[in-house]
Amino acid sequence: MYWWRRTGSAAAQAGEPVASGVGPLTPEMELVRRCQNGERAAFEELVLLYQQRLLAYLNRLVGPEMAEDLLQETFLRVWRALPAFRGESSFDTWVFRIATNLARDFARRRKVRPEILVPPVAAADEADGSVSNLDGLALDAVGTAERDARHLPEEAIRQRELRDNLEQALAELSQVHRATILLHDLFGFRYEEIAEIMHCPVGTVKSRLFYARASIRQMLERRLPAKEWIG
Amino acid sequence: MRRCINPVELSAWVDGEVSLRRSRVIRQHVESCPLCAAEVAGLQRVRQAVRLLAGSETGSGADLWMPGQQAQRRQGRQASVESQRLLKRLRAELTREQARVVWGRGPRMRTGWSRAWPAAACALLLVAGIVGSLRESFRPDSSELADSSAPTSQPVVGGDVQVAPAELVTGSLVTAQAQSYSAVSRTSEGTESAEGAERGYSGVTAAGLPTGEDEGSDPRRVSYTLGEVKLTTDATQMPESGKLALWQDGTLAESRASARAAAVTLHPVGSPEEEEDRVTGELAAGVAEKDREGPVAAGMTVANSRPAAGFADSPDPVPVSVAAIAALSDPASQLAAKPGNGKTPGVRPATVNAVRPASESAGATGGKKVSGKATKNEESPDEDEGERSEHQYQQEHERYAATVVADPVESPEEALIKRVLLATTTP
Repeated sequence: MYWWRRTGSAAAQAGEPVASGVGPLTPEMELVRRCQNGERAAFEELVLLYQQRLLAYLNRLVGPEMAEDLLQETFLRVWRALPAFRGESSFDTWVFRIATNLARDFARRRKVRPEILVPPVAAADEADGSVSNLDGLALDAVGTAERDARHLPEEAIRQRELRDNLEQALAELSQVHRATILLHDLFGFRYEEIAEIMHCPVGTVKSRLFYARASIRQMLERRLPAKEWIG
Repeated sequence: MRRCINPVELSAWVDGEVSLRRSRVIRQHVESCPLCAAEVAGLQRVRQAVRLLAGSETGSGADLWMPGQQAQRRQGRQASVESQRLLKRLRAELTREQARVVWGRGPRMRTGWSRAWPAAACALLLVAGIVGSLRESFRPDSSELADSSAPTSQPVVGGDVQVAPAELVTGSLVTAQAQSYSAVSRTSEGTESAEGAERGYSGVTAAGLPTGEDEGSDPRRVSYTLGEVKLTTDATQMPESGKLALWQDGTLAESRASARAAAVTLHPVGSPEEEEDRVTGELAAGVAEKDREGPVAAGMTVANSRPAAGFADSPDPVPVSVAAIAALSDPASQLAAKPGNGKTPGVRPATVNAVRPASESAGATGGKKVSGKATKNEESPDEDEGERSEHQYQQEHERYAATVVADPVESPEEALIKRVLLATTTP
């Protein structure tokens, strides 16, 4: 369902052992176990596995300027803390918690919020003057049929406008609300996992998620005609 | 119509985060309630719209116009470049980190003491800093009082005590061993003080308290305990300086003031080791009153200063006259200590003269040093101080006690200290 396939949490939901206990390990946890034995190569595999997800997350939390630095710091902290990871929570929850903490600390230090959070790839294309940044929709998310529909230029423009407005609406949210809705709607974490990542009760996650959605809805309704975004 | 569902719960229901039983109830209500149905539709639309953002991370929109394999290759290249850049940075950082770890221990070993020692070092530094600052607080710092307009109570052992303009600082030089650290302030002899007062400079008064340690018949060796030091400056008429002469066991110590700050300097006499071991004098500067003018008590304060022409703006310290210090030993000098005598401006003050020859004082106190800042005046009328009788000192002591009691700015603690000193030192 989600474009971001989550392996660790899926395994945890399925009741599979995620720690180095009995039973087969997920590939992800196998990598973790090898990292705990000091294998640098396994760690690099983990980096490649999580890089894009974390970068997308941090891009929208702190902006593209600081996202790469925080991404590197996240992986460094993961490497340092891996020996202490016991698998009580899923690995991706653990990694996202580290990234969220870093982003929160960064926001506290800087006391600023990125005005417009532009994904780095799209920004690079615009800077290069390359063809167009007409759309950035995920094939997996919208399905092949929708992809075919978007081959129409008008539809592509509509989607781009919707995406741009959505990015702006997200950027206007507070960091906690932005993180909550991203973790749930974009990365597919469940309420309990988000509560663990953000160190808050599940009820808080619920209310934050509702507030974030209501705010985005208001912003979109203000900026776009209803037909532009009501599918 | 049944009551509507809480929208927060509706949001959770859209996400499938409610129990099955509750979900059935909500579904029934939403099917019958258009408001809740609209709310649910809005939540679902936002949810779907946010999910569309996932595609923006895969590559540019141009990829959508490419054939599938070409788009995948392009995305793969971009991801590969970014990944390689990140891996390169991580490798460098991890290598540096590994080099820092002692004897090749990996990150697993960064627990326990190896993680705690930086905190321990910080704590150690903090403790050292606190101890150091506490020790420093018992040392005089001339800038402390000069920069502060608030009343200060920093104990001062020796060194300089600077008083900013428009401040009245009053306090007691308390000694741990009052009788061993006996000092009395002296001013220039009476005529000099009077002259200085006429010239209109600030004055300093320190009242000496006879300790009763009359060492033999030589009146020059009579010890005094410094009871109180006061300095008043005028906000509108910046004093050039004040000067305070102190005696310790017959040895002259002296204060000096700078031209702009009207500072008072206390110089404990004796070697540093002796001072550390024997003397713990502290000037508890307790009161700073801006509006206060004039002496606090007759014979104890010299007030009002006016800058001399050509010297008011001088940045360099200019040794100037001290006003009347309570001329306990010389009745003539009491005139100088009276308020209202220091009004005449425009004349450069003279240097305060030491009351007692340093050589005699050193001899009387076992060769203690005389402060180099003291200005000795061999012709001072205080030369005949040695001819005073013990009866005169007793009278001086009584006068001092009277002024202490009359001091309006004295705190109860100061008064208590002085009373104790009086009680213990009265012959």
